[in-house]
Amino acid sequence: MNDDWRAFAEEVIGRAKKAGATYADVRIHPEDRFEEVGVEDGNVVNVGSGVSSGFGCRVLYSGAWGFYATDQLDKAEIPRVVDRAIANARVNAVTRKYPVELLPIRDDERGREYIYVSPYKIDPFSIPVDEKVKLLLAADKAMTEAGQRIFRRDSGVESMRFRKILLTTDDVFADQTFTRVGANVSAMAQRDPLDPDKQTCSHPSHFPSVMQKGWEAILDFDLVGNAGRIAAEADMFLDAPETPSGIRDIILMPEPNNLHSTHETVHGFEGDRVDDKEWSLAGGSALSLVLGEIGKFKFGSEAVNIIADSLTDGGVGTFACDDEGVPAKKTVLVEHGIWKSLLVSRESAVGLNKKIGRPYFTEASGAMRAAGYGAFPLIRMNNISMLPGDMPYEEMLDRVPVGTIRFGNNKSWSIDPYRRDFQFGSEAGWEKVRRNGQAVWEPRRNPIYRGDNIKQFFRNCVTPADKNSAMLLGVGNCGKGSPTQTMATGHCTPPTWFKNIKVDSARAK
Amino acid sequence: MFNSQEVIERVLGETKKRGAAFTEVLVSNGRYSFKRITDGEAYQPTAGDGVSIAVSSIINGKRVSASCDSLAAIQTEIDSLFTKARLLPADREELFIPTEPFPKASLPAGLLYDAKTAELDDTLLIKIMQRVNEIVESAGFVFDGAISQGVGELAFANSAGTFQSYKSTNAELSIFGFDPKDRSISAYRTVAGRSLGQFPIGELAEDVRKKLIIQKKYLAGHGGKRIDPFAGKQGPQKFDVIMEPSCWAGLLAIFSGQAQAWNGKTYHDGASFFSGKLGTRVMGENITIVDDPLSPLCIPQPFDYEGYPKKKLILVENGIAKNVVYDNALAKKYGAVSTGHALPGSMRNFGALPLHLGIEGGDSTVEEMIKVSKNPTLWVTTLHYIRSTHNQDGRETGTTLHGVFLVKDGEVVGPTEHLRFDESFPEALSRVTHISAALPTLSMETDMPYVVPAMRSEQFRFVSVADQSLVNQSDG
Repeated sequence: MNDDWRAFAEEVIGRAKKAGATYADVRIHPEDRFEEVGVEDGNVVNVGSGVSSGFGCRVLYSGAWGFYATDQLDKAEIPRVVDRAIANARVNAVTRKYPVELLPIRDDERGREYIYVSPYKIDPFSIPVDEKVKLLLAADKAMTEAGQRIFRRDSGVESMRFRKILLTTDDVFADQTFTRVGANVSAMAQRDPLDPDKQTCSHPSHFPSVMQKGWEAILDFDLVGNAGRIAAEADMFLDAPETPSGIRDIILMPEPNNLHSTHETVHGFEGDRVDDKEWSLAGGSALSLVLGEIGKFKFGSEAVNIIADSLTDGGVGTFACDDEGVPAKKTVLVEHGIWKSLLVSRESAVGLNKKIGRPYFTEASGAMRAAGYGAFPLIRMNNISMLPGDMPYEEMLDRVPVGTIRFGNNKSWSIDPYRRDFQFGSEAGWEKVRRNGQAVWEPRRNPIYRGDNIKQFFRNCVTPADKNSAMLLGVGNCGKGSPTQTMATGHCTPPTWFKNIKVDSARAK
Repeated sequence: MFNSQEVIERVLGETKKRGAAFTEVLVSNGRYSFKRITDGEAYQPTAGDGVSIAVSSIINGKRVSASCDSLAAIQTEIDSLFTKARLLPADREELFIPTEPFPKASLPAGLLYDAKTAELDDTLLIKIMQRVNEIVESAGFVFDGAISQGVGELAFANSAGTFQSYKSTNAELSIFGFDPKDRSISAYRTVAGRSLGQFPIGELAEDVRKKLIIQKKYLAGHGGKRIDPFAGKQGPQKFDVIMEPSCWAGLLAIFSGQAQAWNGKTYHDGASFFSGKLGTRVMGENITIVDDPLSPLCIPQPFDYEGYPKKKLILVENGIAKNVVYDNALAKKYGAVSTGHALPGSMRNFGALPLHLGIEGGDSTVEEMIKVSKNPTLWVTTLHYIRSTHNQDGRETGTTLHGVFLVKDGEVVGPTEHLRFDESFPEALSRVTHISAALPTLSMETDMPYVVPAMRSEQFRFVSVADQSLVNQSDG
C-alpha cells in the first residue's frame, strides 16, 4: 500500500510542478480512526467511533500560498484538487506585496524518507469496548464509595490512530502512523443541591490527558486507584477555607505547571507569533519586542530551562518529520534563564532573520503540523519540557516558607495576547501552615494566582524539583489557526517553586 | 454526485434490518474558501470540500454512535455499532425513543441561502480585502484578519419518520487594524452572516481606522505613554465601562459554553448559575437574553441535531431568569418539553446548548454612552482569552484588547493600558445603564456569531494592568 500512496502523492506533486508551483506538498490521510467511551454516574453515556480520510495539497505559486483539500481519496480527484490549489494561489498572489520566501531545507534532508510508527505495547483498538466500560465503571464505583457528597461522576477513555503520508517538492517522503490514547476521571461535590460553590477534582487532568502510547498508558494512569482519591478530595474541599489573598510563594504541581510554564507560555515562543503574523487570531508575543536580544535576553531565573523536543518517548508531539518535511529535533528555548530560540517554520525563519538583521535561524525547528488533511500546517508546539532541578520534591515541601500555596490540577486559564499577563485557577489548593509546631499542608478552596510571565513569574522561579517528580502528560485540545485546528501537545515538568506570586480566591470580591 | 437522501435511506434501512430499536442520521456536505490576512496579504488560505455522516442507534437498550466522511466507510461503521452494542451493559436509564416524526421545520430560503455566496467566488474575497486595505492603509496602518465564504447542506432523518434538510451559506469578516511599528495600537470589528453582501464593510473599516488614529495621535502627544487607570491604586479596581458588542459576545459565549449556564442538564444537576433561580431576578430589568435560531441577523438553523424544529426561546426576560434549554431526552427525564437544542448524537451526553444567543438591543449609541460618562469610564473594543473562573458565580476573567480608552466628562481622553478583569457576567448585566442596537458579532472565543449590542455597565471589576511595555533585563 505504501507504494500505492507514494504513487498517488507523486502524481499530486508532479501535477503541481507542471502547473508552475515553486514548492508543493501533499498530505494524504488514508484512514484516521478514533473511539471514545464515556461513563457518567454509573451509566454508559457515550460509545462512539469514527473514521476519516482525504488529502490536501498546498502550493506556492506566483509567490503566494494556495491550498485545497477533499475527503474524496481517489486518484481521479487529483487534477481537480491540484488545479483548485493553484487557482487559489493565483488569486491570493494579487494581494502579495512580496513573494513568500522559504528557508531552504538542508542538503542532507533533501530527498530523505521517513517511516515512523509510534510505539505501543498494547493496541488500544484491540481492547474490546466492554473492557473499557468495565474499567470506567470500576472508577465510577470507587468515586461513589469515597465521597458522600459527590453528585456527578464522569470518566472517559479515547483512542486514536492516524496515518499521514507526506511528499514535498524537495523529495521528502514520510509515512507516519501515530497511536494515541487519552483518559480522565472527575468527581463533583456539593454540600446541597443549591450550594453555589461546587468542588471538582480530576485525574490525571481536568480534560482528558493524552499520550502517544497504547492501552498501557491508560493502565499507568490508574484511573480506579485515583478515582477514590479525587472523590474524597472533592468532598474535602467543600469544607476547606477559601484561599487567602496576598503575595505568597507557590508550588505548581506538574499538571498545572505543564499548562502554564510549557504550554500557555510557550505559545509565545512560536515564530509566527513573534513575527507578528498571528495577531488577528492567536495573538503575538512579548518576545517580538525584544527580538534583537535573542540569545542574551533574560527570560527567567537561572533555574529556568525549557526545551522543545519532538523525539520524546511517549510524547504526543513526537514524530519523525513535520508537515513541511523538516526532521524531528530538539530545540533549546530557554537555557539557564536566557532566551535562546523559537519554534520556527521555513517561512517564519526568513521573516524573523530579516527583523533580527542576521541569519539567526539557519534551519526550521521541525514544528509545522496540521490537524488533518484539510488543514494548513501551522507552527505547533511538539513536546515542551521544563528541565528538572536537583531538589527532591519532599525537600521542596520542607523548604518552602509557611504560607506557601501548592496548586493542583488546573481548571481555569487565561493569558494575554503577549503571553505575559496571566490568571490561572486550580481545582485544588493547599496552604503550608504550622500547627502545634509542625508544618502541615491544609486544603484551600478556589485557588487562583496571577502575574506577569516575564517581569516577574519566571524570574521568580526558585527551582523545579528533581527528575523523579517530573510528569509527562499531553494536552489534547490546543486550538490555533483559523478555521480552528485542534492539536495534541506534550508537556513534561516537575513540581516547581516560585516566590512572591499574587494568590487569591476565585470568589474574592 | 453526493446524495444525502440515498445515504440516509441506506443507513436507516440497514440498521432497521439488523434490529436497531432507533436510528438517527445527520449528513452534512459543503465547500468553503477561507483567507486569513496579515499585513493586507492573504495568509494561510484554506479551501476544500467534504462530507460528514454521523449515525446514532439504540440497539438492545444501548446508545452507540459512529461517524465517517466517505460512502465507502459506512458499512464498516454500521457493523461497528452492532459489535459494540453487543458488548455493552444495558443503560440503567431508559433512553428516549421518539414514536412519531417531529414536526417539519422550515424557513424561507432567502434567510438561509445566498446564491452569490454559494458561488464561492475567490475574487470577491480579494476585492473586499483590497477595499478594507485601502481604508486602513490610507492612515498608515495595516490590515490583518480573515474573510470566508461557505455553502453546505444539512440533512437529518430518524427511524421514526422525521426528515429535515436545508441548504445554507455563511460568510465571515474580521478586520483588525494595527500600527506596523507598534502592534499595541490596534482596533477590531467583526461580523458574520449568510452573505458578505449583508455586511457594511466600508463602515466597519472606517471604524477601525478611526480608533487607530485616536490611539496614534494621543500616544504621539504623550511620549508614547498610555493612561494607567491603576496608577496610584492598590488591589482590584472598579470602573464604569462602555463595552462594544464583541466584549459581550465573548462573555456570553463563555457563560453559555464553558460555564454551561443554560444547559438543562447542568441546571438540574445544580451546577449551573441558574440552578434554583428560574423565575427570580438575576440581571437588570433592561436585560433580555434570547436564543433565536430563526433570526435573519444570525446564521439561521431551522432544526436541531436530533431533527427537532427550532424556535425563538426567551432565556432571561427583563432580568428574570425564564428558561433553560432541553433536548427530548433531557425533557423526558425532567418533565419538560424539548426546546430544540439537541447536540449531535455523539455529544448528546453533554446535555443541550443554545447556539444562537443574543442580547436584545436598545436605542442608545456608543456616542451617547461616551457623552453621558462623566466619571472615568473605560471604552473597550474587545476582550481576549475569556475563561470561566467560577461557573456557579458566572465569574469570568480575560484581558481588554484592540483598543481601550479612558472616557471622562463625556469625552474620549486617550488610550489606556490593557487591563485584566475578573467579574461576574450576570452581575455586570445587573448594572447596565445604556444599550445600543444589537449586531451580529463573531465571538473570538468560539468563532460563532452572537447578536449583541454595545452596553454601558457600571463598576466593572478589573484586577490588574496587563503590561505590554518593553521589558528590561533588570525587571523582576
